[in-house]
Amino acid sequence: MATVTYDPLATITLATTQATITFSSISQSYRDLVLVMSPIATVANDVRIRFNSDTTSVVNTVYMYGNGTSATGGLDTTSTYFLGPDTVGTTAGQMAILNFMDYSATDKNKSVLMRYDKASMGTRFVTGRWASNSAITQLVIYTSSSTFAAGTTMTLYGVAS
Amino acid sequence: MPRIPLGFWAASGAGGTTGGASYELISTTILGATTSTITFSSIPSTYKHLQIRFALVGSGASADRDVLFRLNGDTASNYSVHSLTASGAGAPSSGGNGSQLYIKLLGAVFGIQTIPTAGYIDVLDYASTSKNKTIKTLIGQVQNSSSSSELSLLSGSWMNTATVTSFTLFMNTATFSIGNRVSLYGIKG
Repeated sequence: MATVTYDPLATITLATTQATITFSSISQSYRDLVLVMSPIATVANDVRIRFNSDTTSVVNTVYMYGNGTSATGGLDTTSTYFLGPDTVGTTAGQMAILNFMDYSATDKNKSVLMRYDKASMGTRFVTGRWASNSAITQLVIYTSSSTFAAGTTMTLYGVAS
Repeated sequence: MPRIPLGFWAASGAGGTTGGASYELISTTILGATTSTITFSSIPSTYKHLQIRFALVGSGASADRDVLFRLNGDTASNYSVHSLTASGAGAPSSGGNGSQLYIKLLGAVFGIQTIPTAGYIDVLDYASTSKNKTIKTLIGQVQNSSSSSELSLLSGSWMNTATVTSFTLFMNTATFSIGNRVSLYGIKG
């Protein structure tokens, strides 16, 4: 018998500015996580995501990006965070959907798939790998040098298997 | 809060629907032994769309580790595909082929050891009997260099109006490893 899933685990809507958004004590009852975010920054900035407060393990990423004029791609093998939406603006108009695959497994590195759309800039697809076999129990979301503005929303879903 | 299949709509660019219980797990396979073929059959036709989510690791020669996909066991040249892929080295590349024997989801960089290839496949209007079937995917794998990493955004068609009742993920000569996971979800319309 089919099992209803894609359950909302937590939603955050900022009423005031905030430097960091944390989803902690994430339930291990699911197989995948989906994070939907509509971030706004107080100063245009990049959004970063750290897993389980791990500041040591690398998060390798490959991306491709198109802005209506050209397409670019790149590889990052040095960061210890996942680079999420980049150049997030100071007004609403950008959103991202991130899939954390097999986040509760302990026999493999963790994979992330992200689609990020900012109508005034372009669209970006990213895949990332946190070089750790640990289950994801916490997501810490922050900007490189700014804060999230009021109106920022984020919702975390659990997908069972 | 209603359940919203945003993951599904993410790749389509469409808006989500509201209403409860719209996204359901139909079945999951977690491999207890290596195999070259993973098949889901007897798929109920009571949904509007399907989504397949997976995290896979392969064993065998890297050149043989292409991940391939078929619907209803059709082995004829009834598939076409367009793709946009990036390895991290330079600009993304685009490709396309018609009259294929299968849909090639990912190339030879397919995951090894503890580094999985992860992704999802959307099969649209799979229960329709009046249109050919369309799939779209987002799949990625990142190792430590561009020569062994790939991000793929792909659309594919199966030139058949039959209802989709089964799908197969397979490799020609390599195998999927123990612990590999594939899950099938139904999305109501």
